[in-house]
This record gives sequence, C-alpha cells and structure tokens, in this order.
Amino acid sequence: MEEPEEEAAPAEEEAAPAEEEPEPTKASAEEEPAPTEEPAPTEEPAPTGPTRITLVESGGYTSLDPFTNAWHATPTFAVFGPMWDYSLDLKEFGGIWVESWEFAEDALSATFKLKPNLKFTDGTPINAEALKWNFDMYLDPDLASPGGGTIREFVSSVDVIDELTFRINLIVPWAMLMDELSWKEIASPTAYETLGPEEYAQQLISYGPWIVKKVTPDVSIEYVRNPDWVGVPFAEDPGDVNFDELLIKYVTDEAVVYAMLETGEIDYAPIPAQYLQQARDNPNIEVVESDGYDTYYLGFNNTFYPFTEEGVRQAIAYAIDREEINLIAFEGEANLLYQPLGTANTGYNPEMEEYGMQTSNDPEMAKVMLDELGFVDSDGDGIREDPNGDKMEYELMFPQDPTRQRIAETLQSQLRNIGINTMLVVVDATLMRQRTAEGSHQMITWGYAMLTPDITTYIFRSSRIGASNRNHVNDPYLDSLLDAQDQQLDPVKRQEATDAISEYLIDHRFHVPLLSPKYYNGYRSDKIRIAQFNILGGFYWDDVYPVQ
Amino acid sequence: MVNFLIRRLFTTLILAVALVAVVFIMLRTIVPGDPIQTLAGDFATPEMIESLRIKQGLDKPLHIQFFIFVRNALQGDLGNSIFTGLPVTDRVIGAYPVTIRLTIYSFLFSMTLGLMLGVITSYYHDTWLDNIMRIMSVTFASVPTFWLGLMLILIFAVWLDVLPVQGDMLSLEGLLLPAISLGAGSAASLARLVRASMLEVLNTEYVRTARAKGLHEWGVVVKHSLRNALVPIITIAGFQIGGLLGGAIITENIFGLAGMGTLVINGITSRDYPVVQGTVLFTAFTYLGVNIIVDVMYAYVDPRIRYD
Amino acid sequence: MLTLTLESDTIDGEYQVPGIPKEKTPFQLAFRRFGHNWIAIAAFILMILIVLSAIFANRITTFDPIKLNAKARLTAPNSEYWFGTDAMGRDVFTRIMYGGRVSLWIGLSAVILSLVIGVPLGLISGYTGGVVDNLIMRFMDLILAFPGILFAIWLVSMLGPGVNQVIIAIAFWDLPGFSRVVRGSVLSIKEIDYIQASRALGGNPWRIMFSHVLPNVIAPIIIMASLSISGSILAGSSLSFLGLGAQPPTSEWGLMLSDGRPYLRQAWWLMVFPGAMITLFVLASNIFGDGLRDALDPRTEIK
Repeated sequence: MEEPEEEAAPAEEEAAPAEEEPEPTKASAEEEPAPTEEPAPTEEPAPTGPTRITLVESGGYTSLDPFTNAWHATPTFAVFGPMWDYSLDLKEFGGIWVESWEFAEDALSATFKLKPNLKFTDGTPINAEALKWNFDMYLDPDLASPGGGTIREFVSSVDVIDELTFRINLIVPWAMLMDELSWKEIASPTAYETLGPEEYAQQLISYGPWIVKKVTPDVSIEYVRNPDWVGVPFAEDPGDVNFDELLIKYVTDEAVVYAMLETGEIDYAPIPAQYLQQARDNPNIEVVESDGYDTYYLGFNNTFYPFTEEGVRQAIAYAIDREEINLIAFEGEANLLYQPLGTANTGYNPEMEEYGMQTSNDPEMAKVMLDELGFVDSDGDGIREDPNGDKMEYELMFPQDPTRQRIAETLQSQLRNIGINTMLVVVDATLMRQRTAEGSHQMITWGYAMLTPDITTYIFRSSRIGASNRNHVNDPYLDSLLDAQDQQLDPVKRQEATDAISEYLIDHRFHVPLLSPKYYNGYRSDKIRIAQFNILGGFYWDDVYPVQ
Repeated sequence: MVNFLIRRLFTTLILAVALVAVVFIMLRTIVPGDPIQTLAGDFATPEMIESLRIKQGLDKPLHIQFFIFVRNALQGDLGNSIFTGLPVTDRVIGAYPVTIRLTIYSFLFSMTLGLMLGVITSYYHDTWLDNIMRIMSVTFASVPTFWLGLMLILIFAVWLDVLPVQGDMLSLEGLLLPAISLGAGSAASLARLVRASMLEVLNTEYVRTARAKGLHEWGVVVKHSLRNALVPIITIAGFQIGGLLGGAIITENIFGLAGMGTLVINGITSRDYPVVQGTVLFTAFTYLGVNIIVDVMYAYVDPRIRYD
Repeated sequence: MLTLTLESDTIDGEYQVPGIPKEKTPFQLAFRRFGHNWIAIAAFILMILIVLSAIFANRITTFDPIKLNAKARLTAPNSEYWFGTDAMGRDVFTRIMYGGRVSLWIGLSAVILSLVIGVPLGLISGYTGGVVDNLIMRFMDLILAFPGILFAIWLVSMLGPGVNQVIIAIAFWDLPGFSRVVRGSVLSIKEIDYIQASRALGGNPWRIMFSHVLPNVIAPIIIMASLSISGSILAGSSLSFLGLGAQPPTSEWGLMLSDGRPYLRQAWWLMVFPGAMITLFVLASNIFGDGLRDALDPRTEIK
C-alpha cells in the first residue's frame, strides 16, 4: 500500500484498515485487524422500529466484486465475514468459519477444518469445495485477480480433504498466511456463477455479519442483519449483530464527514486532526485514540543522481525536523517515526527508534556532510551545487491531498535550510503510481501502511521495481534479509529478522521515515455504545449496541 | 423549421461523436497515468500488472480499441468502469439525475430571483430601491461560486447550524445551499439583463399607449413588457444552463454531491477511461440539446426569426 | 464564472459599432462620458490600487509570504497579523498581497492570449464567410459543448498543474466569445460603403481587414476584454481552488481558499479574506467594464 492513506481510521468495525484509502481505493491496505462480528444469537431488544447504525466510507466507490477489486474497505468487510479474526491485542486468531487449523512441520502446507452447518446467505453450504472454488479463482492466472496477487505468489494449490477439511499447499513457507487470508473475501460459488460478476457485485452473497440489501454506487450501501452469523469469539458477548440495519455512505470530503458526525447523520467516523479539539469538546462524541501502522516517508529515486549517493541521502535524513512536520501537518497529534515500520505495526520495535534517532535531527551535521561530499554553494545564492556544477534543485512529488501538501511544504522549507531547493509537484495518485513505477521521479513524499512487517518486502524488494518499490531500491543483500523474514514462522526469530531489515534501512537511508499518524475515531455516545476496542481502535460488530 | 431542426440534430450528433473521439484518443495517448497500476493495487508485481492490462483489453492497438468502443456504443453499451466493473451507463444514470436536479433547482432559483429583481428594478428604475438592488446584483455576479458555497456552509451549517453541510438533491434542506450558491451569480446577471430589456420595452410607444389607456400598471408591466423582453431572456437562459452544468462540477465538489462532475473528476484522476468517455458524451448531448431547445423557443417567441 | 463569460458574450453581441466620426472621435466622446461616471471611476481606482498593492507587495508588508512559522500557526486576526495566519503560520494579509500577482496575472494574460487568437479568427471568419467561416464557428461550438472546467481539468492532467496551463485553458474557453463578437461586428461593418468600395477596387483583403475593419470593431473588443478579465480571474481562482493552477507554496487567492478549506471551522479568516479579495477585484472590474461599455456605446447619452 503505498497509498495514501490518510487518516486511517482503523477499525471500523471490522476492518480497520480500510479506512485508509482515500482514494479510489487502496488496495492493499488490507491488512488490518479489526474484527468483526459475532456469534450467537442473542437478540438485542430493539426499542422501536428497526435500529440502524450509519457509517461512512471515505475512499471512493470501487467494485465490490472480490475477484476484480484490489481495494478493501468497510463496505466489503461488513458483508464478507473473515474466516478467522484477530484478538483485541492482535496477537492471536480466533476461528469464525473454521474450527481449527494446523501447519505442517515443513511449513509448506496448512490444513483447515470448517465449522459444520454454516451456510452462505443464499442457503448453499460452506464446505471445502466452496473454499477450493474461491482459491482457484484467486489462483487463476487468466482472471489475474488483483486481490489474489499474494496468493498466487505463495500458494501452489488447494486440496479438498473431506466435506469440511481443506489443505492449502505453499510454494515456500509463508509467515503471513493467516493474516493474509483473514482479509480474503470468500464468495458463494453458486451465487457467483449463477448471477455473473456484475450482478454478484450488487448482491455480494457470502457469509458475514450483514447481508447486502441495496447497492447505490457512489452513494451508499444498505445492509440488513444476518441472523445466522456466528460472530467473533473475542467479543464481550458474542451474539449476532445488535442493529437491524447498517447504512454505509460514501463521502470523501473529511470536513463533510466530520460535520455529519457532529450532526448525528453518522454514528462513527474517523476524525481529522484539525477537528480533534472540537470533537473532544462535544459531549455527544466519544473520541477513541490509538496508534496507527502507517508510515509517512520522504522517498528518493535511488537510481537518480545524487540520490544514488548514500551520503547525500544520509545528510538529508539529518536535516529533517519531524516535530515541525508533526505540528504543521498533524496538529502535533502524530507519532514521530525513526524506523520503517509504523507504530502499530506488529514488527515495530522501540529500540529501533533510538537507533534511527542517532542519525537524525542535526541539520548542522547535514551541512558538514554535504560540504565534505563536494556539494557546496560556490556562487553564494544559498543553493548548493553538486560536484558537476549543477544546482541542487529537485522535484519533490506528492499525491494531491491537504495533509501531504503541508508535509511537502515543510520538507521544502527544511531542505532549503541546508541549501537544497525543491520544486513541489502535485499529481493525482494515478500519475504518482505510474511515475514512481517507471522511475521518472526524483524525490517523493508518500506513505505505506500494513499491519505486519512484511510491508517492507512490498516496498523494498528488487523484484517489486516497476510496481510497489517506489524508491527503486535494488540491493541483493536487502532482498535476502526480506526473504528470511517472510519465510520465518518462529515469532522470536522473525522479530530478529525484522529488526535486521529496519537497521539496514536506517543505515542506508533508501527512504526517510517521518511520522506515523495516530488513528482517531469518534462515535456518537448518545446513539451507540461500543463495549470494547482493539488496539487500533477497531471493534467487533457484536460489541456495538444501540443506546435508547 | 423542421429542416433546421434536422440539421441541428445532425450537427449535434457529429459534434458529440467528434468530442468523444477526441477524448478517447487523448486519454489513451497524451494524458499520462496508468489505470492498471491503480487497479492492480500496491502489492502487485509487474507481471500481474501486465496480465491485468491484457484482461482489460488495454494492450490492443488504439484503433482496435476505438473500433470496439464504437461498435459497443452503437448498441448502447459504453463499456464497464475499470475500477468498479459496473456498466458505465448505470453509473451515469445514477449520477445524471443529481446534476440535472442541481442544475434545474439552481436554474429555477436564478430565474425566479432574477426575473423578480429585474422587473422590480425596472419598474422603480432610478429610485433608491433600484440602486440598492443593482449594487447587490453586481456584487453577486462577482462572487466566485465556490467561495459563495463555502461561505454559505460557514454561515448556515457551521455558525447557525440550521442546514446540513452535505448536499442532498432529494430533500429541501439539502438542496437549498447548493442551488443558491450555484444560482446566485446567474440570478444577478439575469436581473441586470431583464432590467435593461424591460426598460427598453417600457419606453416603446405601445406600452406608453397601453398605460395611457389606463390599464392597471402591473398589468402593463407583466403582460406587455415582460413578454417582449423574453427573447434576450431565453437566449441567456440557454447559456446559463450550459454554464450551470459546468459550474455544477465545483458545486458538487463543495457539497459532496455524487453527480456527473464528481464522476468525471474521479474518472479523470483514476484514468477510468470508459467512465470519462461516457460522462463527456452525456454532458455534451445535454448541452447541445439545451441549445436546440433554446433555438426553438427563440423562434417561437419571436416570429421574426427565421431559420432556413 | 463560466456563466459570466458566456453571458458577456451574448450581451456584447448586441453592441453596435460606433458610427463614423463627425466632429470628435468616438474615443474622445467615450472618454468624456466615462469622466462623468463617478462609480466607474471609483471602481477603476480600486482596481489600480489592488494591482499596485500586488506589484509593491514587498514594500507594503515585511512578512515573508512563504517562510513557515510553526509557532504562529492559525492565529486569529490581531494587530500584528491583520488577517490572521494560516496553517503554516504565514501572514494571510501578506499572502493576499503577493497572491494578487499570480491571480491578476492569470486573468490578464488569459484575456490577452484569447484576444490575440480570437480576434483574428473572428475577423477571418466574418470577412471571408463560406467554408472557412463555417469551420471556425463549428470549432467554437465544439469548445462551447465542453464545459470549460472539464477542459481545464483535462489539460492539466496532460501537462501537469501550473499557472501557464490554467492560462491556456481559460484563454481557450474565452475564445468563442471573442471570435463571435468580432465576427458579428465584422458582418455588420462589411456592408459599410467605404469598405465595400475598397473591396470592389480589389484591395488586399488582409490589408482591408486590419486597416479598415479592425479599427471599427475595436469598441466591442475593448468592452468584451474588460468584462472578460473578471470572468478569467474567477475561472483562474476556481481552477487553483481545485488544485489545477498555482502550486504550493506560491500564494494565489484560489489556492489559499483551498488550503484553508480543511480549517473552515476553526479559522474562518482563511476563507473569508482571500474570497473577499477576489470578489472585490471582480466587482471593481465588472463596474469598470460596465462603465466602459456605457461610455463606448453611442446609444448612451451624457447625463
């Protein structure tokens, strides 16, 4: 995900991550933890008439077809219940569709046993055949499903063992299997085949807390409760959803979203930093604060001179004042970040912060380093020249977005202080992706966000040049570190592998991590009650109750 | 007249097709940015991106793509959105009413207010009332639409808290601010125009005669003057509607309305080619259609105008 | 904004060309008429003041329009910061002064560019008639059929955002107005005796066009141009507001509004002042344009 995630609100109900995408989507963000629904049937007393909870999706409307859409967000998480979900601390998984699972000794396969008697909302059974059908769709190279990209890289095939048991065979050990599949959307094969992709995308027959009632593209999606939903085992009182209806509105403007929360048109929404104070002062809005896993960074085209010079990149890293960026772009509400992984990423290590700080926050050092490398201001205009005599003037490109613009303007001012001039280039996210993929950029400021540390593989592995390796880092040693991390199933050894990557990235400054915004979500405490939150501020559907 | 209409319709068709051809080709050749990169998501490898491109048919030569597009368009199929997978016609049909409602409401607002102010100021011309209203109308004609929208939000939604920030074309509270902000400038221009036309007519011989005959004053104004001032009003109204459609793009942006403007802007920023093509086609047809209607009305109210 | 441009186009269509001079030239007469219109004069002075304040911005204020000051961010208007400060801690008054340079430049140069292209097109179209006329006018229809803002969005997605791109886009959508007005005037003037005579004598058509026809359509051109400036400034600021025009950290009125938009609730001054400035200038230039029209239009009588 490189994506711009903007304020990620994490978990809206389930998917925490989803929020992130402000754009047409973010694909990747799938990671996220948040949870979802619950189990058993305890009907909530509905006071008068049907109860409804209203949310907002601030990414644009995208296809809801699981096999053509790479971007996951609240609207899909509400209807595609996960096969298993994270606990509140995001440390373990609890089965929802599945009863149990087991990895083979060589870590090259995993076997899953489904709960008996579960049915898709069209009444067809959830069995091993249905699961295999879905994996085969994701694995189909001709279908080229964007959401199945990682599956095609790691999974070789899926076998049906018996009615309720299936086995996933892997090409190499895959540490992120459970995480990745907790995001995968599973469709009812019968519904998908009878309706066809277009009509299916309007009905989304699967098995989750909600059932789609009506899709109005770009405007809203209406859902009704799924009475047969089993729920998340970690919920306070697992039972089915406590509201009769769910309405998700598509609204992209953050000011409008906040106003809707304030007037009670919606019940839960991410809160942009500039409205925090007002939200906290509002007696009807409860603000939930949590760390986030986004990394906002200053990036380089590592194949563009002088960013090919490690010393230049390191000098720039010294020149950056994260406090100032935080104040100007985030009202001082984000976490400063000195390592590649965002604060809530499961691979985040506080010791790495110390390590990163050792080579930061010293503009004087930056000037000395540049002087020593021969980048001096010989004509006295305040801008240095490189050893070839060319001015140190570079494009700093960023996707159109108010927060990123403030970051870029602050970076521009800080770099000017050490004698580097930058021209700000605002592009839309589509062009940003293309230019960074083809390598016609110089400096960028962007972000990535994923719950787990293997995000570094997407962003830095040399095989990703031309796609998500936006900084064009081509370093075989780094590749080997990344592989070691991704294939390590032992948690302790895996953290060591992750730390080695973080350290290597800090040493070489292929990019400079800046900040990891916190997630602020607000809900109307006069209308809904949320029993418990996960560490990202997300909640399970079974934990939300109407307030009379 | 019939010949004229047929010719106009024919030209319109050619114009619309030319527009779409230009849009089609430019989107794919000159406009940088690759929708497939976005579609593939940020976890895709370069190979996955390539296979998606093939699947979307964007690897084919340009003229083949255009041929396919035209062939399908003739059957009423404008293709499917790259990102949502939904038929473009569905999306346009969803967004079209929002923009049309916005345009119609703001047009009605500007017509009502503009005519009223124009008639009043011409009737009381050169009095203090006239002066104040004229100053107001020239001021409103000078306010940027988007700023007026923001100010209305600031005043009525933020400070007074009586109207919603988010526009909604299906409810009175929701459509008030967008319609006013989009229509105010037109109302102001219209008021000035109506005043000028009315003054001209009021001074003509037969209106004076009518007055001399003792017809009730308002009867004179409304029956004779206004009717005769209709020609320029209709002309400008046509331009206004065309302008409103364009202005709707910004108004939709400010009030968060999912209309044609939002659709086309999102389409362009994400390079969703079929969506952009479809939206442009519909918008162009609407605009050209309005022009034809204006021409016909023009001929109707002023028989002196002839078409051949 | 788009509406305004279109509208002025129609309004101007009805202007008649001043007749042949008798005792005084039409421009001398116009000047006298204008001199009697004190509102238009006041508007003109206001325009000049705004232009001067933009040109001499660096003398009027001592703040830097670009430099960040995190400590002073979002300060409400006070005696030090008359119009408050923005999210970067920059003085809004200063940025408005400097912003005038860009906003006014966009408006002015778009009109000039449009004149330079639109007037010859209109001349040729009206003078030669026939197929050429038809082609040019159908081309103008094509431009009109495409909402101007859409065209700008599109141009910018090709060339990237920037002031020059916006100037081109605005000039482009002003084109039909200029060429139609000129064409209309030329059509009516073509029939005037001495021009018909020159044509009959086989004079060089280009020479006739530029030395005889052009001077006679200059009044409607001036009126149209003066009224188009306001429309162009409105259009320019709208485009910058949408992120298509001036780029940060440049100060420009529309861009300032767009930067201030996220702070609508907590910093009203970011919205109110730049917008008021646009309105003020556009208002002044509209009144000035009206005054000019009254002065140049022989049907108006001196009071």
